[in-house]
Amino acid sequence: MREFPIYVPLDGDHIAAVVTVPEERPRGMVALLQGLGSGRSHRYQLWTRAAHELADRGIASVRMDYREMGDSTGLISGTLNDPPVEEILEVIRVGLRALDLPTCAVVGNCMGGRAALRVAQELGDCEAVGVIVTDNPQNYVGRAREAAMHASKAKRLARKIERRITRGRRHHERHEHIPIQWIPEIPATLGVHPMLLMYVGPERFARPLQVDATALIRSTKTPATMISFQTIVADTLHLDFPIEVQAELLDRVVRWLDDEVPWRVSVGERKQTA
Amino acid sequence: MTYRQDVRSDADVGAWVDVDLLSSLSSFVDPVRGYEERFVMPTLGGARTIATITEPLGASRSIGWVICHSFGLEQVYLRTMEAAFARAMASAGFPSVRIHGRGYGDGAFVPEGVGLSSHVEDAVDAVDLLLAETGVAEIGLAGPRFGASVAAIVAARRGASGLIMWDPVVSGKRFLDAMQQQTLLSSLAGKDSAPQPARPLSVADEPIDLQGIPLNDRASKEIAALHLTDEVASFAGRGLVVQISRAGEASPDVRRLLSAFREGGGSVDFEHVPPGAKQRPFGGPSFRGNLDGTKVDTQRELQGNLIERAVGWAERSWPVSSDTGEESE
Repeated sequence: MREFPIYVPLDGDHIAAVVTVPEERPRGMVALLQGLGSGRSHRYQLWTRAAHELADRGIASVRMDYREMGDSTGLISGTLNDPPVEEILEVIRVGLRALDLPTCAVVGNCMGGRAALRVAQELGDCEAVGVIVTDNPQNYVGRAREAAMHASKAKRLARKIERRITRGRRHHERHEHIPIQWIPEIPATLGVHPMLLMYVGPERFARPLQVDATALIRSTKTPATMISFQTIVADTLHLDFPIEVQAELLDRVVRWLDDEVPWRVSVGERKQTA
Repeated sequence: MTYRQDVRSDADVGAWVDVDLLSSLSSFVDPVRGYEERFVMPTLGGARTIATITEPLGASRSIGWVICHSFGLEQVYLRTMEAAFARAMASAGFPSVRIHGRGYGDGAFVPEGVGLSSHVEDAVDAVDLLLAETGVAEIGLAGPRFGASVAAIVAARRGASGLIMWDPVVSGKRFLDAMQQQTLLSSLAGKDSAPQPARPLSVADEPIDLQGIPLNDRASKEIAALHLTDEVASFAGRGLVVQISRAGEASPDVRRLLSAFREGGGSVDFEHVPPGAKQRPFGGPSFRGNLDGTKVDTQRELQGNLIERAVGWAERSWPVSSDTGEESE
C-alpha cells in the first residue's frame, strides 16, 4: 500500500486529500466522505482504517478534508442540505486521473452520505454508492421538508410532504410509527447504482427504518442485487460510535465494497487482458 | 503497542499510478499570506504517518514550532485550529510542523489505544523532524488542552526556547474524569435501556471506551498520574499560557502551573480570553446545527482570538531586526 497526501487546487483554495493505492493495479477507487465537522480520517480514524483495509483488497481510495476543515484552506461551503459536491468531484477527478480510472464508488455518512448520493448523480456511471445514516431517522422528515422547499414546484411538493408528515404524526399517535420521508436522493438513486444503505443507532429507530426501507425498495422495484440495507444497533445517537460499533461498521463497509460491488471497470480490464 | 507498521510502504506503483501528478500536488504556496505548506511522511514513534510543514516564503525567524495535538476527540475538534495557527505563524515568519500521532488521523491505528507516553514520544520525534526539515536553530512547542501538557513536557525535556499553551490540562485525573462523564452523557442520548455506570478506570483490564476512543489500563494510569506542575521545572525558555475563562484571573490550577514554571527559571506570561456567549467548551464540537441544515462554527471566533494572541506574543518574544531582517535578542 502506498499513500499520497495532496492539495487539490480549486478556485484559489487548496483541498487536502489522501490517495491510498494498493500494491497491485487497483480494482477500482472509492471516495470516503465524512460528515461536516470531521477531518478526512473521520472520527476514530474510520476512513484511514477503511483505506488501509481496502488497499489490502486491491481497492484504491481517496479521503479528503472539506474546505476549512483539517488541512484544507478556504471557508466551509457545504450544508446538510447542500453538501460541497464541487470540491468532492474535483478531488475525485484528480484521483481518477492519477489511477487512470473512468469512475469510482462513493461512501459517506451524515452530510457525506447525502454528498455521496449527489456525487453519484453527477458522475452518472458511478460504480456504487454507500450511505450511512447515523441520526434519528425521524430527523430526516425535517430535512426532506427543507429540501422540498428548495426544489422546483416547491410549494406544491412542500404541501404534499406536510400532509404526509401530518398523517404520519397521527399514525404515530396510533401506532408509534412515523413513515420516513426519505431525502429525495435516496429513492432517486435506488436501482440506478448498487447501493448500501446502513443505519447505525438505537434499536427503537432501527425497526421502523427497516419497515420503511423494505417498503421503499418494494415500491421502486429495486432488484435485490442493487440494494443492501443493513442496520447496526448501537446504544448511542449521532456519531459517538462505541469501539465495537466502529469495528462492525468498518467491517461491513469494507466487505460490501469488496464482495458486493461489481467493479465493472476491473471486470472490463480482465476481459481485455483475457 | 500493536499497530500495522507496514501499512505504508514506498512500493513502486509507478506502473499504474501517475506518481508525478500526485507528487506535484504535495505542496502549495499562498503568496498573499506569504507561506508554503507541504506534506511529508515521517516515521514518528516507530510508525509512518503524515505530517505537514508550513514555512514562511520570506526569511524565517530562528525558532520553529512543533504543534502538539490534544487527546481523543479533542484532536478531531481542534485540528482545524492547528492548521490556522501554523499558517498564521508562517505568515509571521515562524516555520512549524503539525502531525498526526499514533492513534490519530492519518497515523497508525492502535487498537489498544494511546496514552501520554505515545503522545510525548511522537512529539519528541516531531521536534527532530522540524529541525531536519526546516533547519531552525531553536525549537518551540505549542498545543491546546492535552496537547499543551504534552508540549510542556517535551519543551522541558528537549530544552526548548518557546512554549505556547492554550487551556492546558494540569491534572490528568480531572481530564479523564471529565471525559468519562462526557462518555456517559453521550451514551444516555441513545439508550434503549437504563445506562450502566461507567467502569472505574482502575479495574480496567482491557481498553475502556472513552467516547469511542480506546484507553487501556496502563495509559489511563499514566494520564491519571499527570501533574503538569511536576513536569515543567526544567523549562528555562519563554512561555505563554492562555486560559479561556470569564474571570480575568488564572484558575488555581493555572496559578500553580505558572509558579512551577517560574520556580524552574522559565519566563512564562499569562493571558486570558473570555469564551463566546453560545460557545461549546473549548476542545468540544465546533459546529452547531441549524434547522435549515446549515451548521455554525461556534469556535471560530475564540480560536481566532487564541491564535492572534499567540502569534502576537511570539512576534514580540522573537522580534525581527528592522535593519537586517534577522532576529534580534
